[in-house]
Amino acid sequence: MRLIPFDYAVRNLGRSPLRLALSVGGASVVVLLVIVAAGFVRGMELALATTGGRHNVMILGAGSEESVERSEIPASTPSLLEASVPGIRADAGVAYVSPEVHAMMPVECESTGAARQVMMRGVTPAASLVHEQVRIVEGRWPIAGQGEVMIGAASATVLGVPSAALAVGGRVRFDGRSWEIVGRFASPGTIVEAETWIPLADLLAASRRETISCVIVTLQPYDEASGEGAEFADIDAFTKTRPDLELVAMPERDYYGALARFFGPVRLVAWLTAALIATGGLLGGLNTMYAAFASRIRELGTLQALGFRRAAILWSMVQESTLATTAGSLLACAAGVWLLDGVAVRFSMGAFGLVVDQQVILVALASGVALGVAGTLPPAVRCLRPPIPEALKAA
Amino acid sequence: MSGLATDGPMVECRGVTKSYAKGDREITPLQALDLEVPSGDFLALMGPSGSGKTTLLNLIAGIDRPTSGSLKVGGVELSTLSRAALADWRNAHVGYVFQLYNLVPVLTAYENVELPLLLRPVSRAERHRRVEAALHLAGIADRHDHFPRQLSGGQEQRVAIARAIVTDPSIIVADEPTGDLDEASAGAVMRLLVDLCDTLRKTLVMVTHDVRCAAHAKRTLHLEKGRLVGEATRHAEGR
Amino acid sequence: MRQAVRRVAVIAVAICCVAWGVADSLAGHAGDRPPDIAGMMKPELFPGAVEVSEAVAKGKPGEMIALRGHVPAKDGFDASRAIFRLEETPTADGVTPASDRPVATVRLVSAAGEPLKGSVEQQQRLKAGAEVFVLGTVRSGDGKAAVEVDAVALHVPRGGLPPGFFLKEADPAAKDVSEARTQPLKVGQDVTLRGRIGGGTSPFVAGRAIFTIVGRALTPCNEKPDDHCGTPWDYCCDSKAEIVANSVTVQIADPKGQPLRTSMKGRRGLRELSEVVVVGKVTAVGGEGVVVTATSIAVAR
Repeated sequence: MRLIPFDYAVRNLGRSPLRLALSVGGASVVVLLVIVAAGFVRGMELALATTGGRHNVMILGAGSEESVERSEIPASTPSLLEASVPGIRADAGVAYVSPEVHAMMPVECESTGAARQVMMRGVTPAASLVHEQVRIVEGRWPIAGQGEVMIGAASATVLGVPSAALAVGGRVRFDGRSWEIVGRFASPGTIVEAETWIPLADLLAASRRETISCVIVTLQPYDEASGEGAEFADIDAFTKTRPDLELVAMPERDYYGALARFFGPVRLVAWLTAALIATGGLLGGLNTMYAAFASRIRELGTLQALGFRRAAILWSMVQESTLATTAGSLLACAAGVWLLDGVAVRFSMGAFGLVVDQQVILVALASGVALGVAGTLPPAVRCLRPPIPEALKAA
Repeated sequence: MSGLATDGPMVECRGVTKSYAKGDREITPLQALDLEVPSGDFLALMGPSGSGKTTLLNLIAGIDRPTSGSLKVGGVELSTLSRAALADWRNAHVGYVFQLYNLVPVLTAYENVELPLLLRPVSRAERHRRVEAALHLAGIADRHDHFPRQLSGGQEQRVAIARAIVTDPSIIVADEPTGDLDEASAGAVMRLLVDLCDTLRKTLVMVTHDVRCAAHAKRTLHLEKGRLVGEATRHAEGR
Repeated sequence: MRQAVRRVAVIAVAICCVAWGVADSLAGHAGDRPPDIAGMMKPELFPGAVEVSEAVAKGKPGEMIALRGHVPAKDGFDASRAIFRLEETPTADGVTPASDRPVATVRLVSAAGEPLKGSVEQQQRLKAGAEVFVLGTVRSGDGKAAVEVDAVALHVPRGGLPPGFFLKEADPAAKDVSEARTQPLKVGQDVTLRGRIGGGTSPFVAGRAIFTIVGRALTPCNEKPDDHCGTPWDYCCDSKAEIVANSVTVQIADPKGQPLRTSMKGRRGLRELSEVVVVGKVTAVGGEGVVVTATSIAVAR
């Protein structure tokens, strides 16, 4: 089948600058919304997927695999683990075993009065060993019993306050007391950045509990030649040897990966919203394209009279509108990268940044193209349907 | 060359009927029409609105198909061709001149004339040669870079005529080719059509309301209510 | 111009192909280089792998089969080709003289169906006495004593079970776990316990010879009327305390007391709710939990 030159599609775009602007602008808006949805989903997925060390295993209470906050395990678990499982990483005699309490608590920024639920993590200095992604960017580690906390770089987003309100030296309030911010930490791309860390003993007291939530251990990768190191299975086996402790082991990344599945409905809602708006955009687009093609029915008939097949003409029409929507998509992608990438979003687990990466751009461009194709076919088919003699009589 | 058989008549209609449904009614614009048009003839079709002359023209041009009867153009039975085969046949053998020129507004005169050649396995250089020749023959070579909106009605129709002859068709059909032109332009366009058909030895079938235009034809057929009601040859009236 | 470019490209590709072929055939004829079998190695055993004797008896030429056995202590490997032998793994209560044990000959073959050149001894943990799982196509067999298999995949456990670990017959005097747990079990105590594999959603540990068994005092969900639990072996209708009080953890350990680095699920048909009789010694009692280090196991059902 011989096609109509691409030039024809390009030049047709210039017939009505207003319609072109509408098509490009409409596609931009719709695709930008798709970018927001995709960036939200991708940001959440990436934040949860990259949270957790590659060789870290989380030991928590059986039945609490989906929420460490619900987990309660004996405070003796870390020492039992250290004694029973050879191959846990250790440096200078200090084992990479971090007992932790995770609790969602209402925290108030004293300078602004803003208060929201914040993920609190009670830690010992061993946490700095197992959480390699965490770096103190300002100040120091909090000291137990001194009413000190260390906050993550995304805490301001979580509390909805300016960063300056949570500067080192500032104060936050929870459990009916005032706590001094003595440090700020970063853990780029992970949801840990949205947490507030406080000494384990202080959080145990504040949350009035004796049990810890979990133990996070870093394993020394197993070396077959020397027989040194450990694997996840060793920790899993340990939990089987102490059924009385009701423990369960999970690779730390799997835990956060499972959280991503838990938030599946949220992601679905994001996609649904984008799809609904895109459908609205599509309907608008259909209308615009129908108006554009309806004024050309005689021309379409002429092309057929000259010998061009309907499919060739349809393809040219698809090219025409896809060009417009692709141009709109490119504009939307540029705007997305410039304006949306990295924008912090709050969610129940803390906060994460919108991510506009290659995958999101690909989804955006694909939806732009899909919009062009889907928006063209119905009006184009309708305008090509009349028999040639009838089309030639059209106004 | 067009490649159609030229031994017999160029157009041969036998009992051609065209009907279609319009709501509950069946409309029959052509009824059991018999007609022969010899090769190289210039035939004018006249008649009141709704007489079936444009329907007949469309059937001859292969843009419509008869409901019954046999219609051969250049020896090819058109009523049995598929839609795709008919499209290819049209491109190869028919040049169509429309009343409102039907040029593609976003293409230049040159590109408009080039359009039907794009469907042929013709090199770019050969296309260029043929388009320039057609524009030259139509007397519009100096306007080849102009868009339709930059041309007068007469010039547009010249471009349309160039487009109709560029594929070297066996038959040219023209539907009121002067219907939208002033008297002077209409005369010029008619002279051009007649000259081209004489020079290039083409068969020309033309629908017109204008007796002066019909006067250029070798033969004029009158239709009414889908039937042939009269025939006249040049310089002689007759029924 | 375009044609010239195309011609040059075709010639370049042809030269590369020839060079590759020459290099490949030179490497193939080098002889002393061991064949690369890393791609055939799988991290997990093939569940339902049959013993060599069953493979010998039932394997039909052309059929896919998963089998398991031990490389003989002597003369297990061909010196110049990727061929090795697997012997029927003797059970502790059914010792057969080595000369009478059924044998599977395993060939690791090229795409042309010829054994790869070079011995595979000491490759990928393949060595004398190693436990090996083979997935492959039966090439030939006499139905009595020998079968020949062309392997498509292999698994060699990092800590293979010792030969003679499984028993043919379960000790009828074995005590049910629930009954045994009515009295406190002491570290060092010899036990023969009967129980069903279960007690949690994952009673096995992938890659370690450890699992939990539960006594008859508890009923798995699938034996309760109108219960459609998808994981009946987790005894979810019972409290965790009851499950712990009616179960023991069974491990097969290395000399250091650590569980062997091999999976148990899928061996000799072992799966959730399989009934087993474990012979061993109590090696740990922590809280309410008891760990038995097994010396042999019989699959009762």
